Amino acid sequence: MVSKDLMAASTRPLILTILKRGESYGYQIIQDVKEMSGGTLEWSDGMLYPVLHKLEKDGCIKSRWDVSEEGRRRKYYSITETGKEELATAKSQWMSVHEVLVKLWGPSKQWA
Amino acid sequence: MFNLENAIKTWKRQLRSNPAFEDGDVAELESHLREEIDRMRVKGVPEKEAFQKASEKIGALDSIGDELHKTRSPKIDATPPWKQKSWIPTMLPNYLKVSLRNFKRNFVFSIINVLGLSVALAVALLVITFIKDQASYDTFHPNAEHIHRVITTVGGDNSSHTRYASSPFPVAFLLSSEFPEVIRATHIQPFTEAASFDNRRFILNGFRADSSFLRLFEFSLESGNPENALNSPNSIMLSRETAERFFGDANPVGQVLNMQNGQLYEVTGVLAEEKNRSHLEFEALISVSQEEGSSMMNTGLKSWENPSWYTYLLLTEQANIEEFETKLGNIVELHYPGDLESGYQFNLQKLTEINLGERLARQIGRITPIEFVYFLAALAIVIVLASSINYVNLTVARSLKRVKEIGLRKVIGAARFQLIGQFIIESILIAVISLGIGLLIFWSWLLPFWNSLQLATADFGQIAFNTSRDIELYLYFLGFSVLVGLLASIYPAIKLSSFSPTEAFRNRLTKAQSLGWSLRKMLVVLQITISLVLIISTFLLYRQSSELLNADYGFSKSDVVNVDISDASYELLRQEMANQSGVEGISATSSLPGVNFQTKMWIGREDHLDSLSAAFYSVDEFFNEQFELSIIAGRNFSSNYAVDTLQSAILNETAIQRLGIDSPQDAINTFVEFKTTGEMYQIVGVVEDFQFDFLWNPISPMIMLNNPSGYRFINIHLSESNQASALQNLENVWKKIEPIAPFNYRYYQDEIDSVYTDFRELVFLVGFLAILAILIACFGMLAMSHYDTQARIKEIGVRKVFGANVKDVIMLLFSDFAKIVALGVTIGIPVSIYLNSLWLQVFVNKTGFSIWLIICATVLTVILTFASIGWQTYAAALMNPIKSLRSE
Repeated sequence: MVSKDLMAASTRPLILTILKRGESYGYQIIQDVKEMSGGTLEWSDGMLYPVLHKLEKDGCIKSRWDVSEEGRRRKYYSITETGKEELATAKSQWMSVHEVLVKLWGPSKQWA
Repeated sequence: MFNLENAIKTWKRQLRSNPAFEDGDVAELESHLREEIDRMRVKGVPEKEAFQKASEKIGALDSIGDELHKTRSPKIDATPPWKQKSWIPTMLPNYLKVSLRNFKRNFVFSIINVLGLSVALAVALLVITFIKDQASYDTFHPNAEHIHRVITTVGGDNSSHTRYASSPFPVAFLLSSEFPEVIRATHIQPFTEAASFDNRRFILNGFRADSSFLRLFEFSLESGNPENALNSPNSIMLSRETAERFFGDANPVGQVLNMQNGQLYEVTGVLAEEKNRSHLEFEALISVSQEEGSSMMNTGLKSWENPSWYTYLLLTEQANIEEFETKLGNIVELHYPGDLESGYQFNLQKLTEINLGERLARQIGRITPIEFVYFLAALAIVIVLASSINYVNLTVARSLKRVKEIGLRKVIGAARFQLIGQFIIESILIAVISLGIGLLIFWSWLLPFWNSLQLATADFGQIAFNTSRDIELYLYFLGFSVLVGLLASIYPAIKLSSFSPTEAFRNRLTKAQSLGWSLRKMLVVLQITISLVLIISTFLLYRQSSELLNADYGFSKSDVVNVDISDASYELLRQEMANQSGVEGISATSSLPGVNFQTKMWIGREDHLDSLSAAFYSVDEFFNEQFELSIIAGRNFSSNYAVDTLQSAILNETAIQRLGIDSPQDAINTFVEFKTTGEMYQIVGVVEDFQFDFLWNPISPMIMLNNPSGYRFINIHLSESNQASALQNLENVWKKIEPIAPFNYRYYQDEIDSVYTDFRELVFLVGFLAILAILIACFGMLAMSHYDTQARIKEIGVRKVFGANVKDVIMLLFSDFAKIVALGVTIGIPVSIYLNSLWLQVFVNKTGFSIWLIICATVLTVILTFASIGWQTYAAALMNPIKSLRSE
């Protein structure tokens, strides 16, 4: 399991990455995350929605209501240009943190 | 039996009970829940278990709600309002909103309220800044607190005594040698002399000063040693500016200046440009060395009779001023034996109290008469008072209309302290806003306006800003406006918050109306009193000023121009100029009657001990004719009598009377003595009295000598036409005779006018402030009458229904005000008579109170009052009772 703080920090880029692949709705997004992480990333489902709303308010994603084939109302989210920009920034930031950690934890292991 | 739909409904109800979830959120979460349940059902989980697991997975609804709220709130660390415990910060925006609405609803009256207070605060700021500025004079000397000036009272206890800023020459010597309390003493005497270097020649104004001067006062030096710069004879020190005029950029120290009397003076130092202000202003200091001082003691200056020097003392910190003055009394007994008639007395005056102090005779340098400061301060206080009264009045009146708001707030749950707090906050807020506007008015308009007045710049200097000093001042003002806000609101706040909501809603306003009515009545009486006092004062001041400005000087001055003779020869100028066309007459004098300060001399009759101080003029034989002064006994000076330039004198009528000579004829050929020098002059003529002094001084004794070395001004009487070409010719003549000094001429009338510019500006200023205060008072009464008639609108309606006509209603409303006006007038008349007699006594030709003046002022006050309240009253009387009574 990943710590709460790290989860909180990674939620936004995670959602944005998923939405970059295509329009999706809350339940599906959670399923995607679970599937990809093999269950290591998990948060209480309801907490996704405040994050989605915040992203929408910040202009990173936009939403629309639609009805599925089964006749269920769903709120679909898709990424905006602002969202793509934020994702790019987040990506480079995550990568630089990642690189430093990899170097530090590299073969010599003296810092670990 | 578990029913899924029911379970979901219950779950949704739980969601809806939390205000953070909006309908969309609920729908979205429901969709999520159903999706999860469907998924589990596919896996074969029973309905009940699937619902429980799915809702568990969604998580704690409360914390989701908090998160959702955060995303919607603009604040970073938003706490949902339904979780807030603290009440006051929550209500503050509401208070402000309600204040603003109240302000808008009573826009005109609120603006009167705020602007009145702003203007008043701005005026008060100006006055206090001015007083502080004036009080800062001479405070820069490190020992300022212990420096005193010896002042002399001549004439003892009788009412005609004169207080001089000066003292006799020997005082400084005696005090420094015999009084242990005196650490150091210095004395100075003003001089005005021409000095030249190469071909540069300027008139210098400065002091003769002994070597202690620079050690007692801490004027900063640019070069030279304060210990010895004035030690040797014929040393001169120059101000930075004067040094530049003479020597440009060259080093002035060691250069030699040629003075008017032919003596040479060596420059021993330069005074740095003084940033600090002192009552002593000088361009140069001329040394009085110890030897010179001692030798002066052996000449006429040893006399104790002539207070013509200015003595300053530095006392020890322990010195007791009262004891010291008693000891000074002993000196008097020693040095004026048996001369009880003239009644000499010495006192000390603190250095820091010279500038803002008593008006003394023979003032040295500049002073701001303390009376003027009292006058300004009184006006400022009146204006602030008037507007504060308005403020209190209007705040009280306005809050009466808010009884229902108070009731509503109480029903909703406001505690009493919250209501009190609301009123006080609102009132203080408006007061502080007024101060803000007041500061704006002060900086952007009032201060530049003040600094543009000649009165301000010439006599007092521009008000300089001193940040640290003024910050303190602004803090005082902030405190003051908060206090006004507090005082205005505390009474209505406490009273109004005591109503029970039921009373408030049942429109039982009688209690509310009665509250504050007597307080307000009193305040309105005060307003009327103030208005009346100001109207009477303005009338008097105007009358006094026009009396002064239209006064008859008793001499003819039209078409006369004056020229400063400088170094030119008067005889030569006269010869050349008298022949020019357009010149009707030429004369010369040592100072200009009605314009310049004159020298005073102590004169007395031959063989008589008592002496008197007389204005002293040196004039030529054409002077009296030129100015159409009539010789009422004896003869004018004449070139036919060779002795005239040496030993003849003409006195005015007043001098003859004061000398105790029965009639002008008896004076002819008797002798007067200059008491300080012992010189004797024969009286050859007596001139009719004319006003040579400033108009507020009575005509005093004067003596004229025919001494050519004293002439400083040439008076040229031009013919009425072609004055420009005549002046051009005169300038050409002047340039031939005096190539260096410029031909500076001024019309006599202009010179006289410029003397009284200050006075006119003062009158203007006082009138302006008075009108301001009256206006504020009128607006206050207008606003008051509005509220009072509003409060009685139902009573009026009932009366009209029962048959009262418009006239009856107006009479009813007016009779209430009439009592207040009558009371205000009754208090106002004696107060204004008392206050105005305080300043009127300064003037000689004083204008008096007349019944008519008081009647006019009273009528004007009454008219203003009723005009202010009239239209409100009239509107209330005309109002249709159907409207006012509809709600009953």
